[in-house]
Amino acid sequence: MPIIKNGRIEENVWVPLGEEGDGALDRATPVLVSLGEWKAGKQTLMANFERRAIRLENADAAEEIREDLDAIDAVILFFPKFNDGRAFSQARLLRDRYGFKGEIRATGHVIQDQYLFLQRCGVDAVEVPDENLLDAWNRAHKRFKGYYQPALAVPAGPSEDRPSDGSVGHGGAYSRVEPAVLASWAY
Amino acid sequence: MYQYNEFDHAFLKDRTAEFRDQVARRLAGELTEDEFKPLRLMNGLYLQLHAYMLRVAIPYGTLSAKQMRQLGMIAKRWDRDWGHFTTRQNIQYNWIKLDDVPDILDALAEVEMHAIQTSGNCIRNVTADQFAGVAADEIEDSRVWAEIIRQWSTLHPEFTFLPRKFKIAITGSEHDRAAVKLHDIGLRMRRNEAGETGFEVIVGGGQGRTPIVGETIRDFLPKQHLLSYLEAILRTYNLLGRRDNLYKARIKILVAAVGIEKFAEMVEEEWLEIKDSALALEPEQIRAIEEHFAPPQYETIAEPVAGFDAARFTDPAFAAWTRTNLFPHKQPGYAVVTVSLKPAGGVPGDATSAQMEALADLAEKYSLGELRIAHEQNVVLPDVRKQDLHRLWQELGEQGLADANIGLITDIISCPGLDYCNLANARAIPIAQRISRHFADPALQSEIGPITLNISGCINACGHHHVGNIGILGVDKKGVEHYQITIGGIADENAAVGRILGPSFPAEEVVDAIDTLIATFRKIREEGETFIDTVQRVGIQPFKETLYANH
Repeated sequence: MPIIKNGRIEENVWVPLGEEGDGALDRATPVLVSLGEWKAGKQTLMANFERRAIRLENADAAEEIREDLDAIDAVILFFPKFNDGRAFSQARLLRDRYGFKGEIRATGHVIQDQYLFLQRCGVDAVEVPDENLLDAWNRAHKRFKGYYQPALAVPAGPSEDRPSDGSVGHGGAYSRVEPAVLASWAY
Repeated sequence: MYQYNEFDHAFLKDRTAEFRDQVARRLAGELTEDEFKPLRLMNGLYLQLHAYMLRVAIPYGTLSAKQMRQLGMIAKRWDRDWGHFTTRQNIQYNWIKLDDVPDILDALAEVEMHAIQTSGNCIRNVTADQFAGVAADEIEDSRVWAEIIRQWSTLHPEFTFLPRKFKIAITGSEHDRAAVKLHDIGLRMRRNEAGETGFEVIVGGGQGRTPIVGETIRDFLPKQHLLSYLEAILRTYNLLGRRDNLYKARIKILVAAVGIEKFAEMVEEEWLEIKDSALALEPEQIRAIEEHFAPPQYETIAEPVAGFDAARFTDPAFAAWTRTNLFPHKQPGYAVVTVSLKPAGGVPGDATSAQMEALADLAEKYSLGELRIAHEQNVVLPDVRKQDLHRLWQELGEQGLADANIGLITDIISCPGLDYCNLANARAIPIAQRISRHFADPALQSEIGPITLNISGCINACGHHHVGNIGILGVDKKGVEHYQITIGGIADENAAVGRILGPSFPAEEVVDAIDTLIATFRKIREEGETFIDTVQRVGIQPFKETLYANH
């Protein structure tokens, strides 16, 4: 399925490790593993593959990969139903607390009305069923010009007309951008 | 009161436009009903028994005359000429057409109101003591903090798809009028030994099918940390709250499962990570919100106020009203007035368009243009000069709004029940109407004294029956509406859940049953005792015995 990232359509590159194990895939293949697979064979996976992504189920604690984030290129968060909001907190912890700089992708049942929330929690890519939805998702991304609470800043898309001074995404009576948060976003 | 700035206006406009788009997508079939449902709920729109119901937020119960007038206009133009004030300090319109909702939201936005987060699995409209800012017994005005929480929680990116609904209440007084121990988070303003004000934080309270009185996880939280602490609680809950079972998804179940000490520990651990983040409130940010709630220019009035006392001596009906419907104001010469929406035989919390219009006029004339909605489903005029009270009372009387029954047996809290609600098992409104007619005699009510009587049409407990001194719960018994009776519930700082007396009663026997309980109380009460005092002294047994004597 296509991925929307930074306002554009991208193709999914991650290949699940699968049942055959890592012998079936070559070193250059971007490999996707579950948290269990990662914990069981961390060293082997790091030795055998150049790029690695981990899929977290929503009952998995993001804390479990905290120490390994330098060795991980992407975290894939799964929404079994769009109204199961655990992944919002997982993303927030990964990006905001643990300083993860790689891609955080939302997959499963996600709807455009959540796009801005996802981005403000640190998700920068979403898997969508149909690339014709790009415009609708990008509209949702531009829906609000400011927010009431400090969270992660929203990246400007390619067709954005936002100010370039870093003041995007915040407003309200007392919300502001925390420099550290912005820094962790601008990877 | 809080005045929207440019940002607030722009934000609300964007939000209304977003919902207009969501409604259009639903009508075009781009959104399934399953997908639309949580979106419309987050905007206060329910699909009820007969029609759509729109629940409008009255944050912490405060509104201006202009806003009240607009609420009346909406009832007239888009509903059937009335609205229903709820226990959550909201107003509900019961007969709304889906196509009209975007226009209604625009009309609300015009007067700085909205329906955001009055439903859905998000942080709901925050509630507060209806006397905040004017009560003589207050430590500090809690509206400042309620407004800060309102802003922080509005479309919070992380906490909009929680396991279940999430309710926060706050009180600034020693005496709790906001039922804070019966909320997911309750906040009580406190003064520490150094004389600083902060918050006692209570979690895990709530009613519904598992009524639990909340427990304190922090005795004193300095004010600047309010939002980071709330965020720590919410994050812990969002990650660990149960999602497999709708009925076990509230924070109270999580707290009960891990234990209050462990839960407090988890929250503190999370909080330490974020307490000095951008969520920490700086003094100038707090001051900016406080300025919105600066006390109005009160006149200097010497007490006693001669005209007021003279009217009380010469007009016994007015005197009776002053005994029940007034509350001490912090400013000499002023009173806080509660206007009863509970006439004998009326529907608790209902107000017609004309009454809303009249209340707006009276607020402008006599109460510095401000009103409040109490969780007991009454309207408050917070700033009335005592010399104006007699005239105000007369003018209220012309609108059928001068009932002198605040805190008495006919001041019934009731949910809409089966007459409107999809979830209900039994009607609540007709029961409330019959009871209030039965006890309509003012002398009798006064003799019975202070008591709370709450009715819910189902286990979800929107009528707070668990914490009524007398609670009535509608149940379905083989297709017939029955009512289970509890006594001993309390909603204030001594919060307690009532105890069930025995088997339920069919609708036609409920009034007799309540009459029996009251008769028993009058017989066994000691001098000066209220109903709840007596229940606490003697327990439920004597009531149980008389109630089921002939069964």
